[in-house]
Amino acid sequence: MNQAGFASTARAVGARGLWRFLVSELKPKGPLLTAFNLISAPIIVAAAVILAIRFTKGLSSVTNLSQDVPWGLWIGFDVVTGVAFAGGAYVLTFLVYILRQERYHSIVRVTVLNGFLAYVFYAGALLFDLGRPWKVVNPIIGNSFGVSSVLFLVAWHFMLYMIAAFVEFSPAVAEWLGLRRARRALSALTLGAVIFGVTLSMLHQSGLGALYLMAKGKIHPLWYSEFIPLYFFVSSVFAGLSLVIFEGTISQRVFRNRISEDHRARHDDIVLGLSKICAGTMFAYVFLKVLDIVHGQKFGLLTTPMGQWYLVEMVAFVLVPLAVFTEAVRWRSQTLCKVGAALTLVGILLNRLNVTIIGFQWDIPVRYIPTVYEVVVTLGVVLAEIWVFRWVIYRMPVLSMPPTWAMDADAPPVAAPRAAA
Amino acid sequence: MNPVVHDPFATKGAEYVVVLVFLAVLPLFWRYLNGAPLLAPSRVRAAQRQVLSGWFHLPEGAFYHPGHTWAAPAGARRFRVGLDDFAQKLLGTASRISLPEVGMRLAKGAPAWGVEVDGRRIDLPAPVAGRIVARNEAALRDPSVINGDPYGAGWLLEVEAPRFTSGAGSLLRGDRAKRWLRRAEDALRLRMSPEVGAVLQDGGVPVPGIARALSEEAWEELARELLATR
Repeated sequence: MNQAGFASTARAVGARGLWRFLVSELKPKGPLLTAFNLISAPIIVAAAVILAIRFTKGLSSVTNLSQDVPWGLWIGFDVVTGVAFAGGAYVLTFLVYILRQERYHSIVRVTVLNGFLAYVFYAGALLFDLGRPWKVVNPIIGNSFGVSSVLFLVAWHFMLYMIAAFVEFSPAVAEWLGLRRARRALSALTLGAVIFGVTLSMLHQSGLGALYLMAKGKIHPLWYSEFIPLYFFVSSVFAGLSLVIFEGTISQRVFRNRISEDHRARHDDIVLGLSKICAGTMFAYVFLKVLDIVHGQKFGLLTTPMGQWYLVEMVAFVLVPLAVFTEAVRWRSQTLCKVGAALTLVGILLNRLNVTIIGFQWDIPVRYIPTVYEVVVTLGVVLAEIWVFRWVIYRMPVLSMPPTWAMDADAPPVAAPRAAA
Repeated sequence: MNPVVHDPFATKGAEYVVVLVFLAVLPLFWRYLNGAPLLAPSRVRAAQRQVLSGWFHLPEGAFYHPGHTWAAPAGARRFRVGLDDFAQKLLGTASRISLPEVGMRLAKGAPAWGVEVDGRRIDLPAPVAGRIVARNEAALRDPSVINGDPYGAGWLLEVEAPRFTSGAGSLLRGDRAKRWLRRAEDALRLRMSPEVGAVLQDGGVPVPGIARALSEEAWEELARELLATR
């Protein structure tokens, strides 16, 4: 059923029409037996089964977590890395709505959708690690707020940011449902939601780093720094934008039939612009990291095995992608932009895992190594997010142009010719 | 484990040095990032061999102004500019070209040079803004080189354009340029009359001086219209 069809049906039969429309939209729009589906579906089912065991028999039944290492892969990858990768949404909305860089407008929706889903799934994965997950609402409802904890800040920020990101994305939902008046009201909220969302993102990207400030002595000194919040914030800029470049490259192929002409035409320029921002922020990041080495007098540590591992992260996955992005911009090379983005994503993954897992309690006799169940659950979360992302792309105007009525509503008013007196 | 406690002031001097190095290197880095060759001349030349549009050559490495002029990187912050294949085929062989002097400034989109055909002059717009650093004296002496190799030996001016990046957005490139040229072709097709013969419509090679072939009397007007210089 098309959008206009649903709008008229909904007026005619109300809730029943909406229900029928939603049920019809749940049906798959493409072939079911694709390679991606055949690989991802069993992993998602397996992850669901493992999570059922985890919630009935406890964390120790499926994870290698212990009192020494209470936060493992689910926090280190899903939450800490996933939220860094979601940073593209706040950077893009800041560029478009605050700095009025209109050339990035065509990718705002897809980036905000990505960010929103990343928070829902990856921040949602926080629940897996909570011993008593039903108490997650406590910081929100005031059953012992815990205002002295950084987790209080993170909990509120995550919740508020998810609302802000959904408000930013909601005009697309209204367009899908054909709800014109709702779209008008929701569109009017966009700028406020963006300002709120950007502020919250800056705070909680650094807030995730601040969580690890209390683990001084447990994190290897090369990764522990009083500036972790700053590093997490600055690196979230190039992490998020690299994911936008990476995701855009895949979307250009996978969703080529859904991509508007405008989106396709601007893609190359957008990628180059984002690469330039990545190069600039990475350049500043390198100096901030050097300052930490100097300030903490950590030069001696660089010759140790962990120091060499640190240098691998800094040279191969920060300095090299910085050089690749720089040359990509100079030579206007799309291929180099993609290589730079891929290296950066690996570098961010490595950095976050170094802080949260590899460099965490690095000197205890029994090191934490995630179980295969933890890995399967992590993969399941990522794949489930891709399924939902794909479902939305095929139904809502995210990569495609909005319906004509929505574009007409956004068009500036045309001055009517005056009638002769 | 107890981490080693350092005197926080012991490294202040070195930290200031790091900050000063950062401040000194930042403008150089930014300049390097923006002042780019953009595309190696060899890659531009290689791309020139590709025919990306139906009737007209459209090298991939160049930027196109909607007034049918092009700009291609020729070193750090330098661009060579000229008129595109569509313009040279539309106008035909020029009897004379007029180029501004070295040192003069070009404003993007403003008339930059004139092409004289049959004693009538058509001005074409500058694709980029900047200072002229060189003129193609060979093209001045023999304008037919433009027809032979509009994107290579037929370049007209070399321009230093330090602010190119900010102005690049309105220039056309890649797929956008292809679509634009296709529209220009469509506009040309609409103007075609049977007396032009089978040269263009049937997949032949466009003749030089299409505008004159289409309309002997009003070719100048037609050329201005198709080149969007009116």
